[in-house]
Amino acid sequence: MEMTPPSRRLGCGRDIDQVWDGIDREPDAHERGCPFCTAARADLRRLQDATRSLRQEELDDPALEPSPGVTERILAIARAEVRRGRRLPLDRPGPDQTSDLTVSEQAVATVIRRVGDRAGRVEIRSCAVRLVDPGDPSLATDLAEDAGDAAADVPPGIPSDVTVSVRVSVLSTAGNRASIPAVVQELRDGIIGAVRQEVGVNVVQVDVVVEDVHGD
Amino acid sequence: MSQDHETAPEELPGRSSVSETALVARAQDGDVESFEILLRRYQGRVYRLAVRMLFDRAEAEDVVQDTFVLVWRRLPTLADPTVFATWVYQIATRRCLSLLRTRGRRQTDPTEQETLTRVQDEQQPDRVEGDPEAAATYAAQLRGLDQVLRTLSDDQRACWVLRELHELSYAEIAYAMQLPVSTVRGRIARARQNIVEGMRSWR
Repeated sequence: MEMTPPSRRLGCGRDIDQVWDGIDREPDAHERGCPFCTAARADLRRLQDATRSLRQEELDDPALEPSPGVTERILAIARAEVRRGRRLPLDRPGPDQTSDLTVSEQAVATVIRRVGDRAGRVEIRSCAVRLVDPGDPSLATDLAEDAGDAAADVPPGIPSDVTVSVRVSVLSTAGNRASIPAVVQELRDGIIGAVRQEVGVNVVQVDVVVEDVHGD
Repeated sequence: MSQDHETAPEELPGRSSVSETALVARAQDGDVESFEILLRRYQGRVYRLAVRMLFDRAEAEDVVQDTFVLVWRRLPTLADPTVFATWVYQIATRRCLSLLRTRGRRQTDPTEQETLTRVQDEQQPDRVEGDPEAAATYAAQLRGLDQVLRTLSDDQRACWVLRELHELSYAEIAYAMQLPVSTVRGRIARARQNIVEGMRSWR
């Protein structure tokens, strides 16, 4: 517990913090006639003026930025430690094969985020891509059955199946009331198409969680 | 928190800007491009804070690097992306205070009397109350403020700088300094007193 220093009481007995807390209002009857309070208020005003000037000077000073080398070093470390996550095989492996061609989950996520950015009505926040295990019970039944049948004799070069989960914020303004189901469906279609075209894997399911709705 | 007026909205195809919450979430996923945007947006603030705390530009650059490498590595642990800015300030402030402690500079939070005495001893006491010239020139005031800030305790200076130069709220400062809000209020009130005393003596 910090002791109250002797300097905190003005000559008139008032606490300097209380006088300063009232700096934005007109001086009260006592303060108007009190030299101590008047001086204290004047001191704080001078300090506020100097502070405002210092704050603005800092913001305006072009020399008050770290050198480019610092930024580059930070980014180099980030890139070296980038969270690549899982590698996803581009092709479904046959019974005796392992696929050599892989793509990082990060790369697929970048493609997916661009779909949202291009559409303009939805902002993708986090994004996860998962390889489908043929016969995965969490898939819709008919898809799982198709996948299970297909896995039995898979020629090489069949694109992998993936599921995508995204968490998004939807834009909705007075002039443009988004129908959220419509926006979500448009996003789904966009993701399926973009990933098929740019990555070359099949998106069999897109889970969209609308975390937030924002106005512009 | 004050807006950084110099930052232009980031351009992406089809969009005029991406919200900071989305940038943070993407950086959490490992997207370096989003991290770079955040880095360029906040590195100046961290640098200015570190210069004010350490009075050494080379060390301030080290703080910037240490801070943002830590930000990158610990991003996945940040549960709420909306408090990203305050979280960055917390990491940066802790780094500054830690450096000050280990380099054996001024102890944190000496008594008020100690601080006032030090200021009065170092400068020529020249109390001129009611002096028309007490309204000093612009440059002299700034220089005085700059000098007096160096005489504050580390904790008082940190709270004052975060409040007055970075315009954080009391709650944000409390989070950054990991102190109760009431303690932050007290530190800032005492810092103001010490500065006023110091500037009155300084000529």
